[in-house]
Amino acid sequence: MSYLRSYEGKGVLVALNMSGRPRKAVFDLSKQGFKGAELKSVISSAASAKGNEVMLEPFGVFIAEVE
Amino acid sequence: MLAGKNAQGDPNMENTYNKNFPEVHEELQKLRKVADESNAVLIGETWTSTADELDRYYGQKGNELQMPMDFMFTTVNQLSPPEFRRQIAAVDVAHGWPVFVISNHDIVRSYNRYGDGKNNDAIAKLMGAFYLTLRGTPIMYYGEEIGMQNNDPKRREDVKDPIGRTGWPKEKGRDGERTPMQWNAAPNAGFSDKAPWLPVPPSFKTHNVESESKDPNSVLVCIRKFLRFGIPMKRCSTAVIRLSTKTIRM
Repeated sequence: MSYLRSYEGKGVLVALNMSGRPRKAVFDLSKQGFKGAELKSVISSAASAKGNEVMLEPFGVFIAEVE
Repeated sequence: MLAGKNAQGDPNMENTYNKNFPEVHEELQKLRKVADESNAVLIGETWTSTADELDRYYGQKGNELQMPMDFMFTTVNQLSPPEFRRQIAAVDVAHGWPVFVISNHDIVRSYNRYGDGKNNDAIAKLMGAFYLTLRGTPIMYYGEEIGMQNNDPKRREDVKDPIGRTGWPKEKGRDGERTPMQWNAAPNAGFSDKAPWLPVPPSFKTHNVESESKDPNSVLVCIRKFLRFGIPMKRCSTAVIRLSTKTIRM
């Protein structure tokens, strides 16, 4: 599950793995007004990111600023 | 009357004549006037079945409760993104500020409800991250921040809650989610040097404020990070009202 919170051109992406299996998610946020945006990790638990690709371990949490 | 009986053996009631009186809203509007004069906020323990019903507690003119709790959120008893998305979307269309709750004194703790028995701490962190970062105000039940679990009574004679006494063994009552806060690994979890009204669960030795404060991977340390991050977002009053939440499928 993931969601984007945004205000005045700034965004925060929250990605949560609600399953017991590792998950990979690739985010293209251009439709949400963040074309070519980079994910800057703020808080993570059992998760990592490279570019716009997020790896979530079981029940992992990834929170990033979108710039 | 409806068919069947509840856990206490009483006939199931239709609740037509003892719930959701229109007069309740008139009284809430009066309370709101007083609250506004005192610059106070009204928070409601509003058990509702539908988003429309919840919406009515804000008042047709936004003149009732500022913060009626969304207990429909607690009815999602599994880690189901589609179910959570549906609940978030339903409340988002209400014209008031969302108030998310995942546990309280009347329902089994979230640690037990969502936990799978193997990854409970990780799931407690996940649920914290989830409802602390949504658009709205989260209301945290004490102990959620350290991964407190239910300690349901094992024998009828130990039950304090009348609901549990009359409903035993099918309905064990609400004692399990009402045990003392777990401060440290001392007897009674440091809550009291006398026997408390309800006993703490055995997990108090590992899941307590003192121990978890020293562990960088604990539920408590993780929840503190989410709070530090989430609260400034919510304090920007004008900004936060305009913040949008868009769900994206993964």
